[in-house]
Formats: sequence, C-alpha cells, structure tokens
Amino acid sequence: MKRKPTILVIASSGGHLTQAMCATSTLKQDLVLVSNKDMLDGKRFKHVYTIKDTQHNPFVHCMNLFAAISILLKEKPQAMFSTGGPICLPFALVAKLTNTRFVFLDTMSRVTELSNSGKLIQKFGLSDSFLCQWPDVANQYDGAEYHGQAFDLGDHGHQ
Amino acid sequence: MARPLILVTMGTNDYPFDRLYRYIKNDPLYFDDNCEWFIQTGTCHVEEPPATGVVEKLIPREDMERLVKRSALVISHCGIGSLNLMLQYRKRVIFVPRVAKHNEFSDDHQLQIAREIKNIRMSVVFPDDAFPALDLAQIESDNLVTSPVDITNYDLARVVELKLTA
Repeated sequence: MKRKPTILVIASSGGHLTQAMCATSTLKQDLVLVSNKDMLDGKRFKHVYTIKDTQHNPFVHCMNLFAAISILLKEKPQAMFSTGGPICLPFALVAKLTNTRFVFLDTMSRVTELSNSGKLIQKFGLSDSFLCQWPDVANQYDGAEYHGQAFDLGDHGHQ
Repeated sequence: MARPLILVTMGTNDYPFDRLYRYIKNDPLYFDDNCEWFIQTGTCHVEEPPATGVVEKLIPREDMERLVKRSALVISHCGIGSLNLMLQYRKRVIFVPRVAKHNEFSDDHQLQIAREIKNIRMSVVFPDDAFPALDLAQIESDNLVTSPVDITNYDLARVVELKLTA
C-alpha cells in the first residue's frame, strides 16, 4: 500500500509548538512531531518522538544528531518544518546532508533579532526557506522572508 | 456560587521564577478561600500552597486548556504558548515577563513580545513595576468565555504549505 506523505515537524514544547501547530494547520499530509516533551493527546500528530532539550551541551546535540538520522530513516519525510528551539539544529543539519526540504519559521517572540537557533540556521544556510514573523527582523537577514505571524495578536474587538 | 478560579502559569523552562511566586503570595487573595487557585509551577518551587487550590508541576496541554476556560483571571509568564491560549479565550491576564537580569531566562525576549501586547484585557508587569493588587469583586464580575476564537493566521499557514511542498 502506498504510504501517505509525511511532514516532520520539530518544535520544542510551549510557544514553539503552538506556533508550529498554527503554521501547519492547512497541511493534508501526515504530521510527525519531534519535541522535548510529549504533552499532547496525539490527535494531531501520527507519531510523537521526544528528544532531550539543550542550548549549549554539545553531547546532547550529538545524541540528537543520531536521533535525527534514526527518525529520518524511519519516517522518510517529504519535508521538514521547524519553529525552533535548539532541538531543531541537528535536524536542520541532517536535512541539509540528505537534501531533504527544510523550512524554518523563526519564533514570534523575537521581535528585534533572530533567535539563536535561527541565527545559526540562517548563517550556515541550513534551510530551503527561512521565514520571520516580524518585518524588521526579516529585513536584517539575507534570504529571510516575512509573511505575517502564526496567530493574530489583536484584541478581536472584545472589551 | 462557585469560587472564581485564578490560574497561574510560570512556564516550563528550567530557569527559576521566584519573583512571580512572591508576587502572588504577597497578595491577600492567596490566603483567601473565596477564590480558588491553580498554579502550574514548571520547575519553580512553591513553598506554601494557596488557601484553596492546586499546585502542579506540569499538566497536559488539554488540561491546561480546560483550566483556562474556567479561569476568571490568569497570571502568566509572557510565553508565546500562554499568549496564544489566552487570546483564544479572551482572558483577563496579568503577564509577568521573565527577565535575564533576575536570571529568569537567558535573554529578554519575553520583554520584547510583552511590549507588543495591545489587548485591552491584558496587562503587563514590567520589571520595575509593582504587581497590581488583585480585586476579587472585579475577578468575580468577568463573564467566562468557553468557546475559543480561531486566531490562526491561515495566510501564513498556506505559505508554509507551499514552501514545504514546492
């Protein structure tokens, strides 16, 4: 039986995951999530993989690199999408090495400059598309695009 | 009549947030059993529980959403996940951004997003501000919203879809 195409979504728990869920809301493909905590009920994602979170520990990044290779071999995704945080870095690297499409959306919480993960992905050209959620941020970096924010920050007319 | 619920969410990262705990503990409502509290502490330590309520380290997203629906007031760190949920349910929120100078985060990005909040029901306690006194009468008078507003930006979602499938 032919397998339904899969998109691998990499997002740390909390705000990164919230934004990823908004930004992938029109996708028809199977979605597989990689996160640092499994706090979902599993309705939205076909599988959820959890990996260790780190900002600066190279050992954990190295472990996550092997996890990324393993998950990629198992899921064979059509493309990968991430909203950060640092857990996305090994996946971005593996995507580059395996020529898998990788789309990165930098977090909305960075209003004046890119997140640390975003800076590394942009600097080393690890993504096929690089999106920012603030126009002033997008204007600072080559190749960065602005197409709005993952959700509406307005007050929706309620008092 | 049911007691109004005050929901506190401190965030799930590994940095402490004792300042927020001090703020709520110093408010008389913390020890008033005319209101109910639910505090999600993350990795923060709550030494003394409120007079009435529950203190939990971490709860699933769906449980958090159920609590948000019921809550009359939310006191929250200024994370994007919390902001999204509170906007969906049009909650009255007091945001307290985590700041680097108090070792509550590695940087001040919560301050950056806090400055972008323009919602009339949401207020922000900036680092040099005093925490506002909680008013039970005002908390009790709020109408609870139980069905969420869809605030997803589908235009961006369609751009992401195109980029992923190009």
